[in-house]
Amino acid sequence: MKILTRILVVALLAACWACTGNPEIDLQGTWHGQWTAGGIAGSLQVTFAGKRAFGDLTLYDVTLVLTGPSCPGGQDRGTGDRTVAFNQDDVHFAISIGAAAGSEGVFLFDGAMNGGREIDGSYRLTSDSCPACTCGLGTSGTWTVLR
Amino acid sequence: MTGRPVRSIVIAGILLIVAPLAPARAGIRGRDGEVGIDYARQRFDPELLGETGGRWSLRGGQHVTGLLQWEGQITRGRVETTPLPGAERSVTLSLALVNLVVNFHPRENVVPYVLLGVGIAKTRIEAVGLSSSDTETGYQIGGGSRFFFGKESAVALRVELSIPGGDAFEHSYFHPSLGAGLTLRIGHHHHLGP
Repeated sequence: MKILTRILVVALLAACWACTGNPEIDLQGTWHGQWTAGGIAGSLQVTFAGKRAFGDLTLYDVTLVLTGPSCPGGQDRGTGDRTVAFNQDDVHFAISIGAAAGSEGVFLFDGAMNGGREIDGSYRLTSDSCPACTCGLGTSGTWTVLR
Repeated sequence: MTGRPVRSIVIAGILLIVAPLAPARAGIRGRDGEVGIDYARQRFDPELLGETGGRWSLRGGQHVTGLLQWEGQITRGRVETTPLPGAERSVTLSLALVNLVVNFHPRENVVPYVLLGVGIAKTRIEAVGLSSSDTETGYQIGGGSRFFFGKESAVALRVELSIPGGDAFEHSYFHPSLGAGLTLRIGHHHHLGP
């Protein structure tokens, strides 16, 4: 009976540890990957910084650098201050590409964590147009990045 | 329906209720009822945007004595900021509180008070399309005054400085606010003579 009790206690402790042992994921840092839109693909670099809590969500600043077939020598660059929201599973962020931040060239990226070191998702242009875009991002597509 | 017509209807409704009560004395005292509506500008906790938004309240209660009053209050405030289209961040705070109000009577038509309230608070946050909400304990501390319109009015302007707050997401948040509204005494004070 005593042995059975010990086994039950150990099993219970192990179960509790498993429940609380899920480490909090922090997006902070630079992630590398690619984007695709139709038959076009390019590279993508996303940097999350300025972590701060917002209820049980986490906000970050974001910088995005991308290349593509139509800008082999250059790149498009987008930024957003506190425009990243993260809740352990989902990552949503908005960026503005070009000088006139907020009115043109605004993209919304929605992604989901895949194992803690990978984010997969889709993106879409939420403003009317993107005059500053040179790399062929288009109006919608998919993206994936790895830490 | 827009906000302005709704506000006009509410104010007109209050005034219609008030009219039959006109031949009475101002002020408020034991066994009187009280109902009111008010609007406050509220500074949301720095951990929850730290921006200023609006808050509406409905109140109703009973004066147990000249000094003490129980009051129920339902209030809802919201603030939103949009750094980029599609990247809105917002906080919505809804509170249902029971207030213990301590009233003072320095003059017949001026009734200052302090209050302490406790109840439930629902805090809802949204950011870039993600959202979360939590319902836990709500509370508030505050003080203000009623200013009755004339010597025979049952209606008063109620001005209040308060700090409503609530627990949510394993934190406590406080939202200082300054509000004003109309309050209506339900009860009839006959003249006591010259």
